[in-house]
Order: sequence, then structure tokens, then C-alpha cells
Amino acid sequence: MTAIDLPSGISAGPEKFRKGPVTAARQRRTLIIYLATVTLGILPTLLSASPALQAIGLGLVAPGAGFFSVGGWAMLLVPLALILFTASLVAWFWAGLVLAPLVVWLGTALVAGAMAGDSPAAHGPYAALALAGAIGFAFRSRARRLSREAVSRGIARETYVPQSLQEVRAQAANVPDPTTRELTPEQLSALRYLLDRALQPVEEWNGFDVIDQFQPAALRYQLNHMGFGLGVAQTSYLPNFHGYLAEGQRNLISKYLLRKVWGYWVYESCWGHLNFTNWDPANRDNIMLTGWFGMHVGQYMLATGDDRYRKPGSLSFRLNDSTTYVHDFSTIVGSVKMNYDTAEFGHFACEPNWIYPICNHYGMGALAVEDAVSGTRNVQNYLSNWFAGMDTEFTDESGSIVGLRSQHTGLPVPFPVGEAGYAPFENIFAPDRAQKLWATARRELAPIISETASGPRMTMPGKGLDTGNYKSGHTGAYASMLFAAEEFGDAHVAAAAQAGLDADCGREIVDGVRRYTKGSNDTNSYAVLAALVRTGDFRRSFTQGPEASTRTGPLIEGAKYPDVLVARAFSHGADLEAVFYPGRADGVQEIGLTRLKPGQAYVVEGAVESGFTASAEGTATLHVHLSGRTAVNLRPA
Amino acid sequence: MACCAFALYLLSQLLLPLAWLRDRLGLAPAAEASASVAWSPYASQPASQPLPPARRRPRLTRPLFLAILALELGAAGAVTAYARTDPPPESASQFERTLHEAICSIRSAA
Repeated sequence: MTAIDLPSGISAGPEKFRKGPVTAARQRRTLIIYLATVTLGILPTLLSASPALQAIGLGLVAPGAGFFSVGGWAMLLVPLALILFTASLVAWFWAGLVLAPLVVWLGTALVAGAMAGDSPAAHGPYAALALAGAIGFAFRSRARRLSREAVSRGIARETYVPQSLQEVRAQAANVPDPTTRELTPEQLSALRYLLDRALQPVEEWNGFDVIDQFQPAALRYQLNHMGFGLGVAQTSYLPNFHGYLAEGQRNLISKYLLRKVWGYWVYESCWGHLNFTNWDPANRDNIMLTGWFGMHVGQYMLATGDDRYRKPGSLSFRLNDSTTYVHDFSTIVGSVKMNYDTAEFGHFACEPNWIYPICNHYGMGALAVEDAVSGTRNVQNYLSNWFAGMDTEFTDESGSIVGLRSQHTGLPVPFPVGEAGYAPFENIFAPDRAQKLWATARRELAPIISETASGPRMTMPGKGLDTGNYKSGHTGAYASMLFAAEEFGDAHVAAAAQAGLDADCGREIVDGVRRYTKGSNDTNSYAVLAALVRTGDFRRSFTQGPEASTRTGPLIEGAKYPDVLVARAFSHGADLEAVFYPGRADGVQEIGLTRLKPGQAYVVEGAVESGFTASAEGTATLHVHLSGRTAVNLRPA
Repeated sequence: MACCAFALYLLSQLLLPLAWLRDRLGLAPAAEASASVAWSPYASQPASQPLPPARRRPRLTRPLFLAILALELGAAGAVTAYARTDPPPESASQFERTLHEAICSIRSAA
């Protein structure tokens, strides 16, 4: 395991705004195709072709515009067609249903043709062109307004980001001492939320939101976020405890391989790529799976040293009795690299056509963690081009990241991810640039933070939206801010976000498990991650892993969940420092140890035994009376 | 955060006026705790305090549904009656005639 090697010469950030060359070319192509379509659509009218052909032609000018040619009551179908077309765009976004808008647009044109009477309405062509012009004008005006606002925002940022960045750099340098980390009772209760779900049988989904597998409530995102939380706990607090903590992480990885989780790609391949034969989820596009899952598995491997997922076929996706897509950690990450090798935008798509920079942050995170686990040089090889794409194709006039762009048309689409959303992920592979993102975000969060008698308090406006169950709620928003603030050591914003989360999201602790009842499972999992992370923890869990001394020291393997809660497990190389809490009731519990020096005598403090001699296999069992915080230390005699 | 929330955002924008209307009419669903989040593996112990009963809201949903259903059925009936009794107008296009004959095949066969 080696720390990743960051490339030199990465730009500090986008310079003067200019539209990226690939974006510009795609937009030109889109415009040319549209103008050609309009010309074709007008021809039947100019040539006085049949009324049906004229209606079909005008239907090509804008969705539903053919009904203008039919005239009369049929014109009431124009707004209906526009609504239907908007719905088809939603289907396109939602599940990569590329054909939906085309089918609706052409379909309404054909229906208009079928409804055409003896003679076309005289006003038809004018109304159709006016409709197309109005739509184009509305989009153009909106784009110009947003551009002006972005320019103003960029100018304003120049005045406050430098000072904010200095503060961020100072805060981010204050990392916790890795040798003294210990989970607080509050953090333990948060961690139990994940463990309860991760330790159930792999085929069971209790405590998960099972809604759809296409969009943000999908099981894969819940699994990834739960895995990230457990991975941070493993790396930062419990490097010398495997047992049920590692088992829970492996269970989540096993769940991910079930068709229930990844089967959406069968459909998206068919209707998005028109590929009806090869539905391998780690092949073309689908960075929302390969990038996220690569990060997830790599983080586990780095945290535990477990290399079972290097074995060919260890991460295979079984479609049915006859077809299995055979993968392992290197082929999952290999899929990300293969797509980057041919990515014209420097980034590649989730669903067919839709490129999300946030998912590409996960993709680069997967490359980074492979560097740390396997000693590859992915970040060296890919990051410069990745940022070149980001800075030219995915940056707006304010310097913010364009959240979503259509690969086929080059058109940008608003997508609600701000600087705070990107910053912790960028911190994995580009800390300097990530700090700049956070320096911007924390200042722009100031208007929603108030100072109260009990400390700072963040208040999210409106009802919010929980992307984990499509209901209203702010759990995800507060958790995101808390996560980012903690990752950069920003105590003030973290305290404010925590106060908002606790006050607005239904915090409760039942059976020793903390949860936010107004949130979904996904956003609760994110809140656990936020509760565990302290300055730089997220980054380190993908780039460095646990302290080197912990990789050879004794391991706690046997501990019964939830009777034995482990709050600390750290080794300086030969010793073990552990802290336990009772999960149900006070009493004596067995603790199984491995990776001891075979035949070595050990001195123990805090256990029923005062010493023991390790077996020939390097194992031993201790008995510990748990009552509140119980510290146990052992060292070679 | 999970990607692809744009579709949801767009949908919520489309549904915003309807949601506003629903809230004004007092038809907004009562806030309820997430069942998935409330799940606990400790069956022997109560998972959570029972939620307070949802606020009683006006029972407009069913009459509204019935009214819409009645309208739909009425419209369907009217269209069917029209299709079964009226021959296609002389001025109809070939496509329209074909369509009409296909729909009214029962009458033609009779």
C-alpha cells in the first residue's frame, strides 16, 4: 500500500471563461441539425404539398407545432404536446431513455399529419415559427441572464475568496493525531445505524429505501454512502478492529453485486445505447456505478489490507444462469480508465448522454484509491486531462462547475450541486483546488447561518428535497454541509450544520442507535459519514489508509455485535490499545484476538486476565467486564 | 450526493403549482417518519415511539376522483356512440377513412 503520487503542474483553477471546444462543436452541430430540420419542415408548406405533409413538416419545427396547421380545436393539443415533450425529457434524464424525446416530437408531428383536413390553416406556419422563436428566445434570455449573474458572482468571489482561502488552509492543516482517535458515544450510536443494516443477511434489505434503481434513491447510492462511513471508521478510529466492522463492509459489497442493484443497466443499455446483447455494467459509460463502486471497494481494501477483491471474478455481476459479467477491483477501475481514454469532454457519462462532473469526481476518486492500494499511477496519468476537461467544458463564468451537460447536444442543464458538494471528493486527489472550492462555499453559506445563544445555527430555506426518498426534507443538505465542513476542519460551519440537522430533521436515539426520522436511509447514511469525519479523514481513507504501525499489530476479530461496541483499536506495532462500550448491558464479554506474535507472552490491563500467551497461530481470547467506557491495553511481556 | 437528481428537480418544478394548490386545499400529506429509517433489528425492543395520528384532512380525494372518472367515462361513451353512428364525412382524407373503418369495423361488418 502506498500513498498516491499527485502530479505536478495541475492548474490552480480555470482562468478566463471561454466555452470549451468540444462543447462549442456539439452545440454548433445541434443548431445545424435543428435548422436543417426546420428547413425540411417548412418545405411542404413552401411547395404547397398535401395538408398532411404540411402539418407533419410544421411538427418538426417545434414539438406539437403541427397542430397549428390542423387549426381549430386541434390547436389545444399544442400545450399538451409541449407538456408531453417535457415529460419525455424527464424520462431521458431519469433513465437515459434517449428515444423518448424523439418519439414524442416525431409522434406528435405524425398525429398532426393524420388529423389534417382538406386545407391547412393559413396561420399555421407563422404560429409554428413563432412558437419555435418564443421557445428559443426564452432559453436564450435565460442563458444570458444566468451568464450575467455568474459574471457578477465571479467578480464578487475575487473579493472574498482569497481571505477565506487563507482561513481554510489554516483550518485544514490542523489534522487530528491518528494515534489517539476514539469514537465518542454519539459517534458510536451513529455508526450503529450503518452496522444494523450492513450486518443483516446479504439478500435482505431491511432499513433500506427500495423505490427505483435509476435515480438518487437507488440502492447503489445507499450502499456506497454506508460503505464510505464504515470505511472512515475503519481507517481513522478502528484500524486494529476487523471482526463485524469488516464483515459489514463486505456484506455491502456483496449486496452491490446482486442484480436487484445493478440490473437497471440492462434497461439503460437497451434504450440508451440501443445495445440489446451486452449489459456489462462495467463497460461503456455508467460511471455512477464504476466510479462509486471502485471508490467503495478500494477504500475497504486500503482500510483493511484485505485483497480478496483482486482475485479475478471476485466482483462479478451475475445476470442469470448463463451470463455473468466477470470483474474484480482492477477491472472495475479499468472500466473508468478505458472510458477516460476516449472521453472527448475529459469526463464521461453516467446514463447514456448525461455527463455529471460530480460522478466524475467519484471516478477520479476510484483511480486515486487504486494508486494507494496497488501502486498504480492513475492520478499522474489522468488528472491533468481530467482538469483540462473540467476547466474548459464544465466551468461557467463564475468559476463554478457546470453540474450536467448533454454529451450529444453539448447543452448545459442546471443541476443542484454546489462547491460544498464537490469539495470533499476533490480533496482526495487535488487538495489545493478542493480548499478553494470550500473557501468559496463557506462564504456563500454565511447568509443561512445565524448566531444563537447556543452557538451557530444553519437554517435551510423552504421544504427541501430528500433525494433518497423523493420527499421533502433537509437531512441530505445539512449532512452535505456538515461533511464538507468537517473534512476541511471548519468548526464554525460544522457546528452550524449540526445544529440545523439536529433541530430540523427529527434526531432521536433509540436502542442506542441515532437516526434522523425525517430523512431517508441514504441521507441518514450521509449524516453518519459526516458524524465520523474529522479534518482530512475522508481524503486519507482513499489515499493513505490507516497508520503504518497498525498494519502489523494485533487485531480484534472476535466481538459480538451489538453486545460489544468498539470505540478505539490502535496498535503502535506490537501492542494494542482498545476501548469498548457495552451495547446492551454491562457484563463480561469475550474478545477474540488475532495477528499476535505466536507463542509471545502479553501483559494485559483492563481485562479479567492480567496476561496470556498467544497460540501458535497468533490468537488468544480475552474476557472483559464491560461497564461504560472500558479501556483495555495489551503489550508484549 | 447521489447524481442525476436533475430529473427530480425538473419534475418538482413542473409539479410545483399542483403542490401549491394541494397545500392550499389542505390535501398535503401529514409529515411522517421514514419507515426504513425507523427499522431496527432488535425485535424484542420497541423500535420507535409510535407516531402521532396523522391530521385528519378533508376527504376531497374520493369525490374528485369519482367526478374525473365520470367525466372520462362520459367522454369515452360519447366518442364510442359517435364512432358507431356517424359515417366518415365525405371530405375526410384517405388516412382518416382508413382509421374510421378500422375503429368502426363492427358497424361495417353489420
